[in-house]
Amino acid sequence: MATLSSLEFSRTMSSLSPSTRKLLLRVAALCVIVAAIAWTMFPRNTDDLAALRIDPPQAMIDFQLTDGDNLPFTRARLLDKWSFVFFGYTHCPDVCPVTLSELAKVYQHLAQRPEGAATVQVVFVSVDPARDTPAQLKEYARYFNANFIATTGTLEQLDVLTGPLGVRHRRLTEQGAEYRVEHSADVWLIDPRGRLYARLPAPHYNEEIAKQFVALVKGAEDYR
Amino acid sequence: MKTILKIWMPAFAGMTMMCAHAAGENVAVNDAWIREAPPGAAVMSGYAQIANGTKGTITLTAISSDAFDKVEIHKSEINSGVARMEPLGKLDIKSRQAVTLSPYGTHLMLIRPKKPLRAGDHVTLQFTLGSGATINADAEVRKDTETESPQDHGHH
Repeated sequence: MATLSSLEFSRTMSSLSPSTRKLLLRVAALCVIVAAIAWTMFPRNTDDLAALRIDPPQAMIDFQLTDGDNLPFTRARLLDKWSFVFFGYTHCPDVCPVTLSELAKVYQHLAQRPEGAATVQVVFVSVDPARDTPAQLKEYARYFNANFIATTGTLEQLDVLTGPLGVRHRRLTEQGAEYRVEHSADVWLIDPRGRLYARLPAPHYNEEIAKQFVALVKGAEDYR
Repeated sequence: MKTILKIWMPAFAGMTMMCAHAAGENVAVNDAWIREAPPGAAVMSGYAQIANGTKGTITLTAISSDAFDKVEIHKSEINSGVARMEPLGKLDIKSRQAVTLSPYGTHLMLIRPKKPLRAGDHVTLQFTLGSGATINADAEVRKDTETESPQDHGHH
């Protein structure tokens, strides 16, 4: 491979016409700019993982929701596994199904690892209890993966969970049954001790979530 | 083999996909599809590419379908981590430009399917323009998302 010493480089440069030199410099400057933009667009290194992590993990107070089988869903159900928790509603045609579909791929991917599916779970929390009944939610979540858990509660019960986690949800005032609900679109990662461990920002892409998860839990003392 | 398929699929799809044109106008609705929804879901989402080959701006004013009670144009927005859908009354497409309705972006909100739709089903969507012209596009119901991840650009 040909190499240029700095002397040779400056000789080569000075042998070029001024306009060619100008052009070369412009191309070089453009390359630097493009590289800088690419760097900011794809920040996928450990520094960014630190930004996702809640450090130290945030303990959660107990809460009382109802799952798709009409059984209580409490903090105890978040213990001994890593939980991916997503808040949404079934009248949401775009962001919610896309996210759950991506989480289904993440779940499938993680289930293939030696640790198996027993170490992770996906929980879909409906923040629209007026329309989403536990039975409907069960069908909805099962569609994405038979092991997905769906849960909801009254708005007061939901707030016990969403408040401390910083999950935002609000019914937008509209008449009739066709109201929209705005809701946090992040995925909350709860550790096996039932503590908020990381917050994965939307939009979600399965390969990225799986990579982030593997990297995030590597350092966790009770990873299983 | 899988990779080869993955790379060639868009090209293949490009050749075979439904291109619906407005009569007398150079406006095309390409690759319309509907995301299959879980059983009992009251809403579904639809996506497509709408290309304006005319010399002026066109406006998409309404969409309808016999398969749904109502179709609206919505835009998903995520601001400071909070997702929200905004109904768009209409959609302008500038001359010689195409608008892609896609996941996490502008999409069709298909309200109350008249019968359950499963992957592989086909539905006709009627797009109405400001001029009054209509375009019928065939939309296939598909099960999975083809969400474009940042690492996946080369395949699309």
